[in-house]
Amino acid sequence: MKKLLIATILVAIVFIIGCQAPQDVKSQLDKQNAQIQALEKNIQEHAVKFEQLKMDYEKHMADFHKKTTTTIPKPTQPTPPPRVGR
Amino acid sequence: MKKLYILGALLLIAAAGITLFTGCEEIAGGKPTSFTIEAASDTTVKLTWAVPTEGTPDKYVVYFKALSSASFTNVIELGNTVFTYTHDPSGSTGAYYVAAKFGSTEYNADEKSTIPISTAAITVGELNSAELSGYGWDVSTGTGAKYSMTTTANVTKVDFYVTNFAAPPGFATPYNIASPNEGPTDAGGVVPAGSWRVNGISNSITDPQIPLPKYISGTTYFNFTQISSYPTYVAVKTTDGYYGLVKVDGLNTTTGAVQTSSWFQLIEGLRLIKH
Repeated sequence: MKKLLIATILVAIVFIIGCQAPQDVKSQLDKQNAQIQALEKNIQEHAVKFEQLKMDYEKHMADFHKKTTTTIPKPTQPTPPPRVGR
Repeated sequence: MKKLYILGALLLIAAAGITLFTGCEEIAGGKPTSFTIEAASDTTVKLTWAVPTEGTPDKYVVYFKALSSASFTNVIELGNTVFTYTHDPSGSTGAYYVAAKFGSTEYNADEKSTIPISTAAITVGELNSAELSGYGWDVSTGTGAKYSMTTTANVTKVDFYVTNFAAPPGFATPYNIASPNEGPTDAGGVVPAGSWRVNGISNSITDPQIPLPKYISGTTYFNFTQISSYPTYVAVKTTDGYYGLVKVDGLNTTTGAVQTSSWFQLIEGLRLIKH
């Protein structure tokens, strides 16, 4: 009985120790989290800049490249006189 | 007495010499004067001439060279009291002259021709195009030229104009060859009122070498004719009695330009047009 108790404790110790993440892996995870947060921040900044760029482009097009609508005049219908002999 | 015989012999020899030399000389002669041609009918030609200034010939000879012939042929020999002749050229045009025949010698009058005067392609335009749209012939030379329809200065010069009878803008087909007097009421709206010529335009012609359509009042010539294919030929009868043939070679609907060439018969009233 005593031997069984010792064996169980040893297995539990080994299991607990085995399941604990190594310290270097933990620090790597922390770094990756930080990078992900930085990237998310960059994306947000780029999105803002893109929106600004888009607005600037539209303003430029509106100011300097106005579309002129050309109305092609429709040819008028011929109105020949009555054809008469001479 | 002997001297008298010698004198008589000399006189006899002199008389014989004079007779001999006078008999061998050529008979004096000259060409017929005032030679003219005109239309006897719309397809026949009347030739008229007068006595040569050098004297009355033995006879007159009429010569004709058809357009397709290489040389003149003797049409008829006439007595010296005949001064006109009417020739039926069977639809052909050509050249004529009359010779005064003294003995065996012929003296030829200057040639006269019924061959129509050709004018090479000219670019005219639809009434509202940038090109001049009027076209007319000079009856003294037979040459065609283009004229503006926007000024009354040309009322006596234009024989027809090109129009689509539509108000501007645009040059939509179909186009028409129209008598100048239609201009002031044309929807194109650019022809001022004036005494524009009242000419007749025939229907399209299939054979441009045969005589132009006979003028029958109110039935064969019209105030305008629509041009629906290219090239197209139409005849024009002017208000002063001349006939012309118009060839419309083609057009540009973008610019309204129309390529036009013509043949004009200088003999008033003659509708022969073989060219």
